[in-house]
Amino acid sequence: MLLEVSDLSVIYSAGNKVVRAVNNVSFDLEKGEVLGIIGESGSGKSTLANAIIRAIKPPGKIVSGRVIYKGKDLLEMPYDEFRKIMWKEISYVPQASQNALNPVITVYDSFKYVADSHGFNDEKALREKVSELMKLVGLDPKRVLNMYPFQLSGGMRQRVMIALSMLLDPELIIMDEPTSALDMLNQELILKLIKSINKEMQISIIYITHDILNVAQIADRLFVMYKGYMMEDGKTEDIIKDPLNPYTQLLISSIPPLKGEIKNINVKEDTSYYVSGCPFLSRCDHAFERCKELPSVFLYKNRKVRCWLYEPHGA
Amino acid sequence: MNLMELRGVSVIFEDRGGGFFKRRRFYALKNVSLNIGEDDLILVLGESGAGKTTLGRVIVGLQKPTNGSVIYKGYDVWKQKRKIYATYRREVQLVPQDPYSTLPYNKTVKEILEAPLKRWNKLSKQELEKRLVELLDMVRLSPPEDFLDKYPHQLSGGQRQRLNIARSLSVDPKLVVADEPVTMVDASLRLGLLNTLAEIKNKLHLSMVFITHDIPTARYFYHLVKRGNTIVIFGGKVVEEGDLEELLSNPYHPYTKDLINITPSIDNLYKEKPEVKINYERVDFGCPYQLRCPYVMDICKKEEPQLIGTNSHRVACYLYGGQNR
Repeated sequence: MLLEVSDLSVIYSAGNKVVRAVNNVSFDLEKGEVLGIIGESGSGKSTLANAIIRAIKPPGKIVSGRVIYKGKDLLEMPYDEFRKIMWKEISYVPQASQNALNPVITVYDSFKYVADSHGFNDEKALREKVSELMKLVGLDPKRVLNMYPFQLSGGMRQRVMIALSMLLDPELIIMDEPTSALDMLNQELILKLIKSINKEMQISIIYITHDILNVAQIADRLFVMYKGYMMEDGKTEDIIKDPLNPYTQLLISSIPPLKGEIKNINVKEDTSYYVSGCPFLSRCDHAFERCKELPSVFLYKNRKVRCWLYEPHGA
Repeated sequence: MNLMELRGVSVIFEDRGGGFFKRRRFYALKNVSLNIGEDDLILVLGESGAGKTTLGRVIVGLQKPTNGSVIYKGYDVWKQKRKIYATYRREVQLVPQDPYSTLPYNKTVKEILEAPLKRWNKLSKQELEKRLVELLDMVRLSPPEDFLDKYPHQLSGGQRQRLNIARSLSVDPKLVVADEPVTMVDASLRLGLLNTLAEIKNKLHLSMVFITHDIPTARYFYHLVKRGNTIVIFGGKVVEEGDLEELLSNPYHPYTKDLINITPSIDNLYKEKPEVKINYERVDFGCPYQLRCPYVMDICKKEEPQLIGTNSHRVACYLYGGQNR
């Protein structure tokens, strides 16, 4: 087990108003696995990523849970120790990462800064390493390394960011919406790239996105979130073929097919502010009396699902 | 008669990249002609940088074409301004892409919708109130009374986009350009929004130009409206034109084929996709797709292919003839 997140909860508090962004989320990640975290805006997916890398800033606060990386709790350890692990073993590709590069320094300098701050001072070795990484992500090192970020297209910047995240040979890369600002062709190329770094270098990847179709192409497992709660967790193929949670069902039926017959689908919209009970209650077609209470997580067909429909009977 | 007609429209952006005297010319759109009839649906497909948004901006009059003319109800909107401009600006409206940055954050829903109504109509207080409720009902922000005093930040992405639609409908347009209306909206809310948009289109018999990069979205919308002429643009040029279903089941242009092949779909998730070359360079002569095309020939590099074929399906590609024109 590479990473084990258990019972993680994050809140944002402003005065007396508290927003529960992430609620008792637990998952494991094996070495070499690609985990896709799916959620819409406000589902807590980015907060979850930030919590793992200790980047929650006030007014946000981690109120419970543990993040065990290789047997050590990342949240408990002293910050100095954590800094050594961050980037070296766990790296992060932020959301809208094409705008995350420093605009006033060249691409190569961005690599150099990261290397310097982790004691990688051998200039020659660094050059070689960076050139190698650039080739891996499909960019011409001679040309691109001396360019400034504004001279690169969105897809190229995204690939630079992925190369940067691999500079110190991490074992885990957390990617927050790495393809959502790109067009079809670039998405396709980035996905292929991520798949190949996962397969060839055995790097584990947590891939956060709102686009289930996008992540399903590379993820081994999917983890569906809604309003800060885990809704379903299981193998990608199982979830795509037979979604259990009504929310996952809605997500999958919301993808119009490329071929064949098209059906009109009516979608219920969220009308009420979530207070208690099942987070999906106001939009669910299968809702019944029990749903006024927050569903527990049940194990059903080898999957974890948060829905009263899958409560074992007479057990 | 056509409601609107684009005749050989080109939009050229210039920069000083080529030295002091020589300016580099960048064709955002090159010789695009388009007819939009009443109650028509035109779907515009293409990747980023293809010129989709520029086309939308030309249609609504936010971008003046460098060459060519924009004809609305028989008048040239840039040359016969006095005759048509006011009507044109009122009757042709845009639904923008990004609901998070196109609504004023310091105004309530009521104020946002009132502004265009007051600009174009003289309405009494009661009439205004009635119209606001009607608009919000139409875009299914219900109950309308609950929304009137809200600020945009209190609405979800889908609701904001509904408000954007209501705003463009407030002045009774004849033609609406929807530029990627659901791209920034959460996946589970997209279909709901498309349903509403199609319902409005069908009810009011609006002409609509629907711009998107996503074929499945275009296809869903096509089925709600039951028809839709499609243009595929690449590098500022229309490379293929025809009915959407016909175009998808029998694509001619190599670019259209590539576009269909790389689009992920629920039934081909694990299928190996064909290699597609990526190259955003623009060419000065010949076919815009020559750098990425697997079937490129000599003539493609010299001369620009013209749209040929029947009225229902046309393509600009030398593979289908047209060399000896």
